[in-house]
Amino acid sequence: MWKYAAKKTLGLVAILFGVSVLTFVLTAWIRGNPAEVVLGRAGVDPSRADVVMMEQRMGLDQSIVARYLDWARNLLRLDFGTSYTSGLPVIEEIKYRLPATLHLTAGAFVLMLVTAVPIAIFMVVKKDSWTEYSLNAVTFIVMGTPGFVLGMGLAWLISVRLRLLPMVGNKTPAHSVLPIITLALPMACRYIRLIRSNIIEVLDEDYIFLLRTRGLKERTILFSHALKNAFIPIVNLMGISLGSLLGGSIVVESIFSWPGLGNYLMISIGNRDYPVVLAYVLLMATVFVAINYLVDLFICFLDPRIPFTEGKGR
Amino acid sequence: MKKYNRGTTVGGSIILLLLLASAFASSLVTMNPTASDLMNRLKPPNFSHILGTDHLGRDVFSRLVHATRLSVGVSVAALSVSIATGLSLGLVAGYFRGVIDSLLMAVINILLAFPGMILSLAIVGIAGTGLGNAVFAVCVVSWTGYARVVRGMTLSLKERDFVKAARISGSSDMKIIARHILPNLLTTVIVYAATNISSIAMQLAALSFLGLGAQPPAPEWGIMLNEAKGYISTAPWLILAPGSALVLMISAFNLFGEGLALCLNEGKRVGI
Repeated sequence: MWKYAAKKTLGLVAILFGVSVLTFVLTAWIRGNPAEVVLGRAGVDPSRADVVMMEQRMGLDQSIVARYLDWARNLLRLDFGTSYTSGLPVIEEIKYRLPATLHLTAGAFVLMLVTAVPIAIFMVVKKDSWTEYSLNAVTFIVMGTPGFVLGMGLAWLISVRLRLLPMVGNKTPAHSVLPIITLALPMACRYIRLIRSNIIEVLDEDYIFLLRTRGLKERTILFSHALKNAFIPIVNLMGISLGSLLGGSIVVESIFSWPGLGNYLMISIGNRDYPVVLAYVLLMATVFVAINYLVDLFICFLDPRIPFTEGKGR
Repeated sequence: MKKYNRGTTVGGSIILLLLLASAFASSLVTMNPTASDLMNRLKPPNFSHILGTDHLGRDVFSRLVHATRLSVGVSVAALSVSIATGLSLGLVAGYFRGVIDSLLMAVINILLAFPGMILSLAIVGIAGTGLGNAVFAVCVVSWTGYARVVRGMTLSLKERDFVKAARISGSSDMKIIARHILPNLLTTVIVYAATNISSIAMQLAALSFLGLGAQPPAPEWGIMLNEAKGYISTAPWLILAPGSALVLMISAFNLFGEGLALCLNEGKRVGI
């Protein structure tokens, strides 16, 4: 097991290196000359000499390898450069907005967790009843609803028609209800369906049949045997779902004017503030990879039977 | 193995209807989807505009129907590019192994380290907004799934007796790939594509909604929703129409994909 953990850690380091290289490669797509972008922001049409000077200051005249090493060295000191727009270090800007996004994603994650598993179990218990059919239909439709459609629908219904909750901003805890529900709901529905079919699949296995022949109650079988074995795929899903939560938070923040990182990213894309965009991507990928690494280790401790050869699916 | 699934039929029919709507959009609705009429701004649904008009007085129904062309068509285009890339790279890597294989797997593992939506946003954010870049970004994210599935299957198919027999009887590598390996993984690829297209459509719509994909005044559901954002309280019908259309399309893709996976018994392999 320790050998597996060590191997995983090495893999983590390699992937993070790859992530940094790929993020750096993205800069190759920047339209025009970054030095001109920076100078153009000041509102003046830069002369050739200005551009050359700026290129030197930004290190653009060096070779690509030298530029990468320079950039990566700064990354290790958490220096993501300075924002073109505000002139402040990108890390400061991110630190300032991180809590709002954490609030949103953590809230959605908890909501997803506390709703998906019980509803899935409920659907298994109520199998082949009208309750199950209708839940099945509802989860299916919500699963296919993009976050921005759901968010705007909820905003209209709850904030405009029923006047129950405020719509934009994050001043009070009530402000966070709609964004969290919007972020959590489509994914919760996806997981309800997955967990449900997972439990049903486990219930079909031979050892469950054996338990039934021994006369155990259906409920005992479900809760103390089937659920335990459906648990590992659920833990695995949770790690993977984080990626969708992080991606989804951008759309949700933009609908509800939530002052978090996603909103900041959209503003920065509009301003062609590339250091911010790169820092955001790098940060999110690092968090995503790190969490999935922890999930892998956790699963390994939970169930040492799993063969640790191939990487798991996404 | 079940041969018939109601979900596949229903989902397939809806997809067919959407494709027909996109093909015959201009004969279905006579009103110009981009002609603005500032005298008739934000009119609720009525007899001359059955789904009302938007903030520029454009007919919502006409925009909705014309939008199938971009919304459905672009998703299909992105899907085709992803399949073509993933299939060919996966086949080559799985069959020939070696450096190509290691390189491909390294690239895939790095791409999978990024949450999909965030990578595509970053690519569009840096390369510039526009439909072409949005499609490119979504393809960069989604081809990896095909490559992984195809590579894995090629690895195991290569060891099967019928491939060994073909090799012993002197078939060339190209012939073995085309005649023996490719036909055996097509079903899986088709099922994977059927389940993957809904997420492609969802990502493209999200990019347009964020103003990074297709650009106004083009009729596209994501753009229509983006423009409706400011009128949630005054003109909710502007959200209802394109929102329902998107949910209908994505649900139809989901129904079709899930049903197909069940019919062909491929659910396990593509991870449903």
